[in-house]
Amino acid sequence: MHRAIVLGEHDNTAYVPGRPTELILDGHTFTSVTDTVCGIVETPRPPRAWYIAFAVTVSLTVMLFAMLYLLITRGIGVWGVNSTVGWGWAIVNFVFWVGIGHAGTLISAILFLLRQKWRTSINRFAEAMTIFAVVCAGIFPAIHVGRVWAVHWLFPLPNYHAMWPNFRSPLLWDVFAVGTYATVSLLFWYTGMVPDLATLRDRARTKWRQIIYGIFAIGWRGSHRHWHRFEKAYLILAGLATPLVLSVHSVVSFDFAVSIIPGWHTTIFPPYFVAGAVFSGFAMVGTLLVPARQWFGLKPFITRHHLDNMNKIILATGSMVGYAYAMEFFIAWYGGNAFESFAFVNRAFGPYAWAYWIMISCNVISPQLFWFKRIRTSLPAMWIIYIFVNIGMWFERFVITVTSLSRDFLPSSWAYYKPTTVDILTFAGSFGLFFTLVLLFVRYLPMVAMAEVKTVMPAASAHGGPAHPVGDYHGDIPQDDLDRGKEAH
Amino acid sequence: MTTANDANLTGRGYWRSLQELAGSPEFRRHLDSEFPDGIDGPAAGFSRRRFLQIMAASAAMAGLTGCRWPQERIIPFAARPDGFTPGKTQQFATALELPGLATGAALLVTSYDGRPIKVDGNPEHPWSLGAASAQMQASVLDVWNVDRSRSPVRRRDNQEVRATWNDFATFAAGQFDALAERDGRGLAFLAGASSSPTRARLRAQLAARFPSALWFRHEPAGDHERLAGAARAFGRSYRDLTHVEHARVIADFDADLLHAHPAALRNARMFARGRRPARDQMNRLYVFESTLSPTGAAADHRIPLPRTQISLALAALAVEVFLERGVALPDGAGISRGELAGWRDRVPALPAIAALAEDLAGRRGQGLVVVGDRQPAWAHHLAAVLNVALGNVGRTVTFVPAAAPDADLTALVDALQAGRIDTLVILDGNPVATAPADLDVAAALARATVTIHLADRLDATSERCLWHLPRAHYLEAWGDALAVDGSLLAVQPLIEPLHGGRSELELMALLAGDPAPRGYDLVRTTFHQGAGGRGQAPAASPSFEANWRRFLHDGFTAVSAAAAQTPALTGAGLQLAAAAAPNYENLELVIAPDPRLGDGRFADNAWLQELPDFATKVVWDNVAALSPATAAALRVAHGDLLELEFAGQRQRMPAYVLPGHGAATVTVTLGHGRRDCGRVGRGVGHDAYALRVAAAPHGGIGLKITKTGHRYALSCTQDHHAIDPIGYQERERRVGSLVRQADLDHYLAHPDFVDHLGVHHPPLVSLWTEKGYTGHKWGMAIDLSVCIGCNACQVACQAENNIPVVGKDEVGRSREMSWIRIDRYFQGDPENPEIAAQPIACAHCELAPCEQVCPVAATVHTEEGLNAMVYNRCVGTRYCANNCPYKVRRFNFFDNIKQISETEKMRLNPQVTVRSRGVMEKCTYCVQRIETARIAAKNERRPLRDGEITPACAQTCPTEAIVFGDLNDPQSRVSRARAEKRSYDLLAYLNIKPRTSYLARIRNPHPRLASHGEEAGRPSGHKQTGA
Repeated sequence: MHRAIVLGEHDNTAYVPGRPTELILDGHTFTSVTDTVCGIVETPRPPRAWYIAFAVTVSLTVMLFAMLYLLITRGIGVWGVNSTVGWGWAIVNFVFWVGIGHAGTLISAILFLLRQKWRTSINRFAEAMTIFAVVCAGIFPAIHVGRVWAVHWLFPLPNYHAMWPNFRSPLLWDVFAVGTYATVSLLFWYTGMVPDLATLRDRARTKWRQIIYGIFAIGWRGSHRHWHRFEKAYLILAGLATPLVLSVHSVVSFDFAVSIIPGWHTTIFPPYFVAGAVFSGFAMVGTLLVPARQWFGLKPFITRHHLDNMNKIILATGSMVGYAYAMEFFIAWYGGNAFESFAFVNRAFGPYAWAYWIMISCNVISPQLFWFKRIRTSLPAMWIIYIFVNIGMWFERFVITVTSLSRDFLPSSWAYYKPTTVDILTFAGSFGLFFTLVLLFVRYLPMVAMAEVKTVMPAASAHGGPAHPVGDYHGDIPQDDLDRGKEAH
Repeated sequence: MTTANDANLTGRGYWRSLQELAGSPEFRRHLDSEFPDGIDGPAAGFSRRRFLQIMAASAAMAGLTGCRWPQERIIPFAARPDGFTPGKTQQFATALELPGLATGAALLVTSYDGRPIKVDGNPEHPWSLGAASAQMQASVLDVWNVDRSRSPVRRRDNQEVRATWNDFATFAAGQFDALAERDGRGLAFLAGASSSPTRARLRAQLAARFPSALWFRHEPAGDHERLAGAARAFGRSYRDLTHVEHARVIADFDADLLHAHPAALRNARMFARGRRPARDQMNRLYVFESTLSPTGAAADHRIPLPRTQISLALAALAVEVFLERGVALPDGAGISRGELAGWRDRVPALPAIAALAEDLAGRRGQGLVVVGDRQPAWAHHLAAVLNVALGNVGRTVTFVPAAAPDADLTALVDALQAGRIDTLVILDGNPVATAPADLDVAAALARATVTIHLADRLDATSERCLWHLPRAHYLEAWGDALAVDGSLLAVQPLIEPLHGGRSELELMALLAGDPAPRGYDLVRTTFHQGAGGRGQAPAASPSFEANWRRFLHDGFTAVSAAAAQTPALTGAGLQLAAAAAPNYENLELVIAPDPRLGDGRFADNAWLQELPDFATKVVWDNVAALSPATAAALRVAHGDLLELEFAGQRQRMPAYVLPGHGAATVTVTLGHGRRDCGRVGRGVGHDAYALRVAAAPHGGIGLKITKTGHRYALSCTQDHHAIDPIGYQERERRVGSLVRQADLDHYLAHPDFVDHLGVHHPPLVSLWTEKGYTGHKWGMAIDLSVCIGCNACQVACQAENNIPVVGKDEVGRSREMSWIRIDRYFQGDPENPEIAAQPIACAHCELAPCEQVCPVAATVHTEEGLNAMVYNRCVGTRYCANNCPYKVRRFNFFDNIKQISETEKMRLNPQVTVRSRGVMEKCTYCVQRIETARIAAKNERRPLRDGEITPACAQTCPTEAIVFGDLNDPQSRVSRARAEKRSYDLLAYLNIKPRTSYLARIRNPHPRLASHGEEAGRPSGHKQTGA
């Protein structure tokens, strides 16, 4: 296995005017990139730590399914939800996981269209994480219904009632939004991976690897025609995925915003939810990348520059989220509706104040530390902040879902919601499933998009050299970049 | 026997316990043993036919409880019985004797294919008027209780041995013939209070056969003091009969006139009719009470006092009326002006008393003074004097003669201990469990050689008796009773005794020497003799038969108005027995029957256990209620487990801080904490009998409270948790707009005051053309002026709509299933707050927020505007419940219906679908009743008439607070109610257009006591304080 020689970590976070940032360090060549990334997958035995981690996550996954079995055989009553608070952790977890699933598509599609070259190092990982998060998210709406065996009635399928679903219901919009998002994300991820799968196929030393990677490489031979079609398809998918980044969490927010419950019934929800989703998604990508680049020798690919960029996005979206919190309060007061203002006062100072202040400290205060470059580029500091953001964003959904319901219009039906052990174990189990999928991913699929990374390496340019414009172009190279390249030469 | 199997099961886990029972080793063994009881061992030649027989029998027994089913007779329907259509309900008039009151309530029971499924009031009877209390309605559930005993049991060598009625008859023949030979010496009967003429007749027969036999009466919650007071005032026992329709000023001294009073149903109806908010048309209600009752909540002036101080408040009223207002003392008052003057400094000074005296003296003949059963006899005597003096007797109150009470339990225990009794027949009650704690009934019972106990189940008394005999439920037996006005009521069975029980009357007749008594004949004979006949009822007399049939059909024989008497005062001396007021060092204990479980005889009734108490909203429990100031003074917090010590007796109870409770007073209720009842009630709550002593059955001063340091989890349907200051303030702020109310004067000056109490909002417009309703447009109006929060509607709904019971833990998780609930709000001074009750059920909003969000369209609007729930389409997202601003939707978190026993399933109303797990449900406006009425109208080719459709809640409402009908008919009662100025929609600003509207509550306080809170349109509360 090829190992890049690392002599201390090179700091490429500095902005040098006129000189594009180096995105791949340590003098990697095309060959060494392939060797490094494929090496992780091809090693006959993963490290012992992988086995230990896998055992833990699989156990948690088994527990998840045990909890689901309990739920389906006994009823929703095993959870803590009640007549007043009809939605509890299941919906919180759903929104949490869907939010996390945002980063992948944002990185792959929007940053692609915006020609952010640094995305190539992290997009595969982020997309994979998106898929897994959506898998985890998808479990919850399906199982949170009282009659799981009838959940397919949410789809417009022919049925013996001869009925359409109710197209006025935001839950139905959710079904379509999340369904579309999951489908496009999966296609996007897979399409981008085809050349890399072909590389793995070609390097395979065993029959089985050859066959399996061969099947998934769908006959990729690297011909110009293949590349041409690949890049067209990728661009189209990016175009399709971009509006979905905005739509899916907007629609998820409609579940709340379209209702009449004070604290839910707010027009700010769609942008606020999207910002929050990007925020939490980047935090989760960071949470995984920081250790992964360390353990799998990917530091030259996922450099501090990449992390710095991500942290800036976290800072920006975190501030948006903070602004949204403030604006909610302002409107609650300015709107003059007593029910609305109570909902917010109650959030901050009522029985769930603890959750509210956890949310505020994690989501509003902690990312503000990213104004300092020292923190933004410090691995331990950023990782701790990622964790805070993950916690804070889970609590944001908890605060929105539970506090609004627990005290709505009639004080007689106010109630306090407490999760049960089953709630807690189900949530823990969903992490098990998520990390199981992540571990399988790092073991069997290329973690870094090799084909894409190579395009941003100096060697990809016609003339080579470190000062060559670094591009992430799957299509034609624009003339001005070519010109700039000539000048630099 | 079931009692042996499930000793470890407690009521708290009841709704799981049937399954646990199924899993218990005994039951498993029973199932596993291939041939359970009753089937012989394998036949020699094991034929296929025999195998099938055994398999079928095993399957039947696997019906969980192995109950004995009603014997099945296969009769071809070629000749259908007259007037019976299979699948169509029938109604029979019957009656239930209220616990402890020796008063029958006329009922109409609905039967479906021979199974009684619902109890309502008899609309023809003037003292029921179609209304029925929560207890009356819930009594139908007791027929189907799986823990009723199934056969006579004889105790032999301390073993319970199953026996038959024939065994008992054989035993009784020997035993009682011998007793008859010695004139019944050593024989005693212990019975409850009863008004039944047949019982009186049979008692006379028993007395004839056993002239020396003794007769004792045991009623844990009796009306001895009332009878004793009347006896003192008038020279013999009377019960007062209230005529609230004539009363303009009502003074209620701890009588709970509208709820616990024997005539409560009619009182409530007539009180409500006197609440029309117009000048000089409203009555005025003053209530003096220690704990919070529905009557107190409905009062214009409620004065919380310790129980012992209430009679002194009455004395203060007498002082005020006779000395200050100059009302003449009537003849035979038993007290002089001089003596009255001596009372002056012994009675409390209360501002309300002066106002009340002014009102009463100013409206002679239109006032009413009533005193409750827990007040001493002299207070009843004084009330009688006041009513006579104020000219009320004969107008607002008349008297019905009553039998003087027999010797009580203390006398029985003395007689037993003295060895004067060797044979004791207990016809009713459970004295071992319900005796005062200082009376050792169990030990006394052991002194008798033969003890016979007729009871519903093997209870604590049965376990100490030689014979236990299963008692027939009142819906299984013939009988009769007298209503509160003295009219004769028929008690007729709707089903054969499920478990071979027999009635008290049949047992008495058996002991009187009738070898094969039939309840039917016994009652018929009484009816015959009551009409002046002699001997047995004639077998074939057309005129008698016609009368008898009419009696059974109507359920009663009306009594002439002349039966009510206006006796003259005897002049017996009136003595004031002044009690010192309690203080925080020396608290007062009040022991009262539970408003739901009575004296404990409804402890095994799951509907009543899960019915929220009116004041506390606690279910499956009882509490030690005390006022906020008392709690603060004693440093007791809500939910602390306290140890109460009274007269040397101790019991632990959880504290409930109840606004408006009497100061320095703690109220506990009887009937809970039973160890000897069925699975439902076993171990639920805390036994307050443990605090009772024979000398002070209603408690008294001298209670000591210590904190145990433990906390106790109470399950409430409202205010589950101690509320934080923010929530408290917000609730205070909102209540005024939710329950809108004003004083009469304010209302007359500003009839549109309701419009200024809600959220101020822009005009409510629609973005689209809304659906019109051309046919019927169903709607409901609820008058908060007259709703007293008696809970009758909630039980009616539960019975009608097959609403499951979920148990204490589930209610504790806010998962109660009731479709209609009664919100109770306190407002103002916590020591004497205003209390408002507001029934809330699905309002069938025209722009229903629930409908919009259901992804599978499982809740949709009908053509008549009902918000219909399609159970088989529902997948259970609970989104609709979240989006319901009234939070009236109920979700089946577990399979609630599956958890009830097969026997109890026989009670389910077949017209209403039972809901499975994972499905949402809610009020349907009793759509099945709408359809039934529609079909009937269609068959008769006529339009539906207003009032023809009555939802269960409206049907049973004693105060007619709930009105249902067609909003498209401007003449319908509901349209007229909605057209009233004080009609308002709850949360109207949401523009959801609820079909249920509310009529604001109008109160009629005394002008001098009212403080006109103009700003909120409601008074800020009167400020009398208690002791």
